[in-house]
Amino acid sequence: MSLVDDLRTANKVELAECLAMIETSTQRWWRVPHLWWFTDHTERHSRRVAEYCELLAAARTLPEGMELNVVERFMLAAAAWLHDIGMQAARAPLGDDEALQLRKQHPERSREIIESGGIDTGIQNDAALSYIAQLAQAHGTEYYRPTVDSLPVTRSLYGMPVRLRLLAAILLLADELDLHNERTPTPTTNTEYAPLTAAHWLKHQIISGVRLSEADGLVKLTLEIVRPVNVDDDALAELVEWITTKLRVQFGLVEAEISLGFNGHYEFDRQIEVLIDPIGVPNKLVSSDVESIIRAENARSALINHDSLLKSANSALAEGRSVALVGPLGPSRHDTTGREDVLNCLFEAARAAGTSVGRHWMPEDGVIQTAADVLFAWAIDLNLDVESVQAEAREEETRATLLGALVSYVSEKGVVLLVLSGFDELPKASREWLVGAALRPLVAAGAQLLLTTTAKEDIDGRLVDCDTLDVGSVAEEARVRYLNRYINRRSAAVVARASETYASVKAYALNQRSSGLVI
Amino acid sequence: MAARSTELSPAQVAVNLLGVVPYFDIATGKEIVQLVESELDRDASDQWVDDFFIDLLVSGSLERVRNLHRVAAPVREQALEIARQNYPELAIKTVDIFVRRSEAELGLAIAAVLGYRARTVLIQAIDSASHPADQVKFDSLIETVHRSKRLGRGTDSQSALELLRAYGAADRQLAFMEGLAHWQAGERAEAARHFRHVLEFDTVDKAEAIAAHLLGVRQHELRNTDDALKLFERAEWVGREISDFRGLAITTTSHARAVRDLGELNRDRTLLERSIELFQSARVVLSEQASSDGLDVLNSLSRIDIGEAQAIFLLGDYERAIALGRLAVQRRHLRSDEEAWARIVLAGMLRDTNELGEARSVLAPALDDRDGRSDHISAVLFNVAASIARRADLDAEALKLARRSVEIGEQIGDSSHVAQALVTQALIQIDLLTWTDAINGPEVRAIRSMLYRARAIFYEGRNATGLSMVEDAFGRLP
Repeated sequence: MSLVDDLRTANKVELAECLAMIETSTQRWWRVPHLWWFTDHTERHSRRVAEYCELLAAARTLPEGMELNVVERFMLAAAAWLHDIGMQAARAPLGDDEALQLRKQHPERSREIIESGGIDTGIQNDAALSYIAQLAQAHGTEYYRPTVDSLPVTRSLYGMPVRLRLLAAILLLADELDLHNERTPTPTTNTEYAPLTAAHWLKHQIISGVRLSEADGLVKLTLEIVRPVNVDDDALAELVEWITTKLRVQFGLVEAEISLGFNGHYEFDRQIEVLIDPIGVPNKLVSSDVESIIRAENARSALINHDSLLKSANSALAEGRSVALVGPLGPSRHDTTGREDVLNCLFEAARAAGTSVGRHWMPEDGVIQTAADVLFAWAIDLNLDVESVQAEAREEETRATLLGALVSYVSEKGVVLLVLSGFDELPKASREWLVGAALRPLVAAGAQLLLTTTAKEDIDGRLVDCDTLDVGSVAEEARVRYLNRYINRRSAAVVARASETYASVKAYALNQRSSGLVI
Repeated sequence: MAARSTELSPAQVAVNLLGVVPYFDIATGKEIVQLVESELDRDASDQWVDDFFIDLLVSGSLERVRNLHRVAAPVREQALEIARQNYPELAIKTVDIFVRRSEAELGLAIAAVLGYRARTVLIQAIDSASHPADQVKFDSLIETVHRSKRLGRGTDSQSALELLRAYGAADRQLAFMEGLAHWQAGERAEAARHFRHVLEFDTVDKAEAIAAHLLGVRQHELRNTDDALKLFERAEWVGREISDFRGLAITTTSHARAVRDLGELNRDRTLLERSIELFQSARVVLSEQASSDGLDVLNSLSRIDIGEAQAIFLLGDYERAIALGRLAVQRRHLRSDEEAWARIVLAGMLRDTNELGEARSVLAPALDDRDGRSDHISAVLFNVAASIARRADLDAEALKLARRSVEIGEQIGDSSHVAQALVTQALIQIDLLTWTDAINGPEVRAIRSMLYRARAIFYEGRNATGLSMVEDAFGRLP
């Protein structure tokens, strides 16, 4: 039976009528979507979110009295229909900044419109309308926690108890689950999208279905993916990583409200099943720029914390300075503080922003590289002509050739980021030569350096215009939050207490992620 | 079947096998995963391998390194050991896939990450460790790290050692590479200990020839000439057996130098003449070397010329010796080290025949070329230049050069050279003393301090010539 039928059966006819009015108003609201390049936020999206709310609530056979009652279902459906109305622009076109602002603030705008009666809902109960407005606001990730914390856990409405925080959690997840390709019509050949927009469109276009099932007492999510012929294995993996990480983060975000609302009888399986179906047609949104954006997003989410460090590093780089990230390495070059992840995050962000980047990678344990190898890695990434560099050339000849080529390139290009992973893993003579003879002219020509090192004294005061930033340790709460993507919060708290280093948290998470591998 | 004999799932076996190799591209990774399927006698469809590989990527089990992948760090560390213990045959097949594919695109991709030579060292070390009975593979690795040193990459031997260790190489391979790494780092006493261990195996191969040769050089340095000569003969015999003519020529050159020095010490003309025969024999052997490595042949020839010139000089035929020295310096396309060495020896002979102007001209290009460099040859170069300047009464310049020589010796940790250079510096400072300098004045005390330090180093190294130089310098103090 549908919700409307259930409302009528429960003698809540006025709520059934309100729901019908909300549907009609929302359809009218979106008659002309002004921000056509955004993914679908219209009434079609609202309808699917409302359906996902019902699916989520029914995904598990809950004990008697635990399932949502008819008023809760009404509140949830109303909020689902209305949650994105703040995404409609009052006029078109909007500039990029205005559009970005609108995207960021739309949950709050949705609440304001609902509360002020800016859209017809037919709801006479002010408290109910206000809660629906707040539920709509809570669907935005940034708004979720403050909004939910200000809501009562349960409130009686229309004669029934309503678990408001639980409803907010379900709505956020339902919105998240509307991933599939109906949100993004296949672009016409003449349409050009900015890479970030294209990445979001591509994310939706490859998902053909989202299913919920129950297994081993957990609610399991299955994503069905159609793989365009021009998406290679790496790009596909990055896309799936992007999608599933966001979902796992959201599972963690709402876990407390779901658990409290369903009295501990509802938990999501963090192993998201992904079924891939290759299709023989290409997708025109696939491009190296889009892939860079997705890699940058993934590199950012791979970090356990380091928000303030990233901010400092970003501002130094934005102001044209170099950055040295200082943190120790563990045995076998283990990244015990996350300095290499921070480096990777800054590197991918620079690439996605279109900066010319030359990157040296931390080598396999045991391999000792020289200064010439570092310059070679930079030159290769910057597409310099390395034909003249021979394996049989002397170290100093190779250095001189490559340094000359790099300085010329940087002088011509203006802004180039040179990334060096593990500066103090190089032999002393190479470090001395780099600091004394190579980095100075490169910086003078316009290059910025981004490097990681253990020994601060090798760097401090010896590199021109370089901010030396300590990477620091990972706070326990950040470890719990990260692990919560892969295990429930209670277990995450236990593991986080036992895993103090960045590397041990990462190793635990990897173990969780890869435990589902089968052959 | 090996994979079934363990309690690990085939998926874990596949991940461990991928962890055996340091890097792989997707095609290589898939071929390695296919190995597990073949072992399980399952119908390994390409689609299945593709799907599993995607699962691997999606599960975060692989790290990206430029456009390559490697198994994520926490798993990688244990994977190799687990694979070698539980399914060694599969592990070797995995290495073989890696090595074969490294000859094509995979090799280029690894070079983009590591650089050409580090790439070659990595691949050859893994290949050698996995096939300890294959002499050719280890010989190739030895040749690579030897050549790396000549190209100014002395750390490649240390890389090779670490990789051989990580990949469970045989004891003898490890001993040899450890010796070579120490040798190339200038830690000759430690190197000698490992080379002795290599020689205990009594195997006829390149490692044996090199270990015997370098141990001979060490014994020669320590004035254990009898031991040195036996070791050179052993190295020469092995070199002939394995037809390593370049190695044989180099060993014979060292052999000739040892005989020459013995002749000089004992003032024995017969030994000096014998050393000339050996130098000439080395030159003949070198001519049998395939011409593919022409530059190395030229450099080896330069060393022979200059060594022979020194022997001729000691026999008193200064004109012929200096002519041969000039010939060595004029050889074209020499490496910087070889050219500098030839210039040093020629300049020394010119100094001893009081041709100080020409001696200074001979050294000038090398001094310009090596300004700012810190290596053994540069250290010797500055020392010889200092002694020539001293003879030319250019005391200030001499002192500056001597100090630089000591400084380089300290930087590279070559204590033997530091002692030599301290004596030179002390002699220059003695020349600069005036009659008014008191016996216990600060200048004299500084000189004494230098000579005491040199004496301690020479004593430890059992260097009799060095000790007599120190005593001679002490005798010149007021």
